[in-house]
Amino acid sequence: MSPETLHYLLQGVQNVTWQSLVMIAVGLLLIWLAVKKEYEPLLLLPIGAGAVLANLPLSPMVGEHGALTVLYNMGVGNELFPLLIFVGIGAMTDFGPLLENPKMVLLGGAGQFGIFLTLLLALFLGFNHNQAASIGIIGAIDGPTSIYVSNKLAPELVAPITVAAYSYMSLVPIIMPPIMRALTTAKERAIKMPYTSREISQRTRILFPIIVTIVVGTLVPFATPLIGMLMLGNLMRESKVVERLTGAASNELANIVTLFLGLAIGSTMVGASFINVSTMLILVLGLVAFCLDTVMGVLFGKLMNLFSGGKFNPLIGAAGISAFPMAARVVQREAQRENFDNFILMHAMGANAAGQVASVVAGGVLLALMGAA
Amino acid sequence: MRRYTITVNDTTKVVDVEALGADTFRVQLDGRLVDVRLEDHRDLAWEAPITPAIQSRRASATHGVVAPSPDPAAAAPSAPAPAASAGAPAPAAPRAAAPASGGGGRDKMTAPMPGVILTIDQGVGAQVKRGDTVMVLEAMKMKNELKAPKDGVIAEIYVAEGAQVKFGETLVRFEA
Repeated sequence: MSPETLHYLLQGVQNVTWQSLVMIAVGLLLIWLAVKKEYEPLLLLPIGAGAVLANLPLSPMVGEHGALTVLYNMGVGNELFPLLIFVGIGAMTDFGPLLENPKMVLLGGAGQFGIFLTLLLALFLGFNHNQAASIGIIGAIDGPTSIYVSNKLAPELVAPITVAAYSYMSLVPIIMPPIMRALTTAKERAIKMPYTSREISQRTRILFPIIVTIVVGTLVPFATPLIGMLMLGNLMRESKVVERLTGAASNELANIVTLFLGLAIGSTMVGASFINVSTMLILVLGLVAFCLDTVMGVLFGKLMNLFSGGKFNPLIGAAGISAFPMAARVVQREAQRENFDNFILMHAMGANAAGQVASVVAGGVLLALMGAA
Repeated sequence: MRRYTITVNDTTKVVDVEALGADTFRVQLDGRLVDVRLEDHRDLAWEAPITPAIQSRRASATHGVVAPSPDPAAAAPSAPAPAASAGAPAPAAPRAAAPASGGGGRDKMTAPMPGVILTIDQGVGAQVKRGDTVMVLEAMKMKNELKAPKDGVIAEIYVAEGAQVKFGETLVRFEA
């Protein structure tokens, strides 16, 4: 056997770098979190798999004609995947609880303060304007919005931002409760809120996505792609005449695109470019953004409690941060810890749906502020 | 006095209805007496011309509870017989009628929000303690354990697994 043949045979082993080993370990950690802990498995498993595949020595999956790179160019580089996922999210979202309780819109707005606080912090740490805005958008706590905005403003940061956004989103049930408990008293958490069973007519349900799209699209043109796709999905759902499209959008389309998106994002986590100080800072800042959002949401909930004469359960404020629908579920669980007979899920879902819309609007506002075309 | 026999999900109920006025009726269901006022929603006449509303006999009552009516906007309307749930005041509303057994308070469990009954964990005759899970209600894709509000024996279960319930619908009656 000639030395050359031996060289080719051992090429893989010879090209192992410490960075790629670290990233393979990170990929395996994400897969473990998905499989063992069931944290956002639909996303973390493909992201983890993409990271492992991309970091194998001389991986043919990445590079000019790599399969994962093809996926990236197909839908992440041109922002198509997040928009397609939004059609599915819209088709799955019931805005009924929000329409029953329109004042919850206020909480959706309050839950977005974390974005701007994190943005300022990122500027302070030396990121440029576009990068800081992209890092701030992690505070929207909405994966597709984060990918969309950061890809427009700072494509070089899409991978760490997406990983931060989705990882923390899967940690919502762990990150939020301690903050919620620290800021509220047991008595406040036990506040019961009567369920208002207002029947929302189908006409209202159909008009809602149309009106929101027109109003938001006019006020914040940068948010039009996101809000338009989200509300298109919702219009399909509420129209009740295109059940097949609604089903396809919320099942097949959402599932296929989630798989492609996860793999493509994972493939960008290549050791040599991913392991650096800014990635670490983004991971820290993302966590800060999440915590600030929750704090602001709960504080706003306390303000509403004050104005309502103690009838408003401040925990619901935490659902205003988006992370739909996990945040609302966390709120319900926390309320039930205090009193098993307390059901504020519907109110929380209203705030949560408002947070989802507000996140998208906030993303558009950020893009407008940065003047990104 | 008229007597109706209503069957919902294999559960048969006998309901006695006595007209007290043009739009007011006294309904007797499982030994409970409830006053019901029928209202005509003119704007909704095509879908639900009549909605029974429970009238509290207390002067302090705020308003009645609207019993379920067929609703085209519901995701999967499976309206239960109005009479079966007419005797279900909301937990927050004043009690509409004292139970015949005089159980002193919460002798029944009502649906805290609309949803689907996923599982029923206790059978009729089961002895439950306050806080024991009686059934699981799935609402907004979240499983919510409905727990017994007090110690007692389950006298009747009004819903079956897979049933779509409306807010305030009576699910279980307890006996001390």
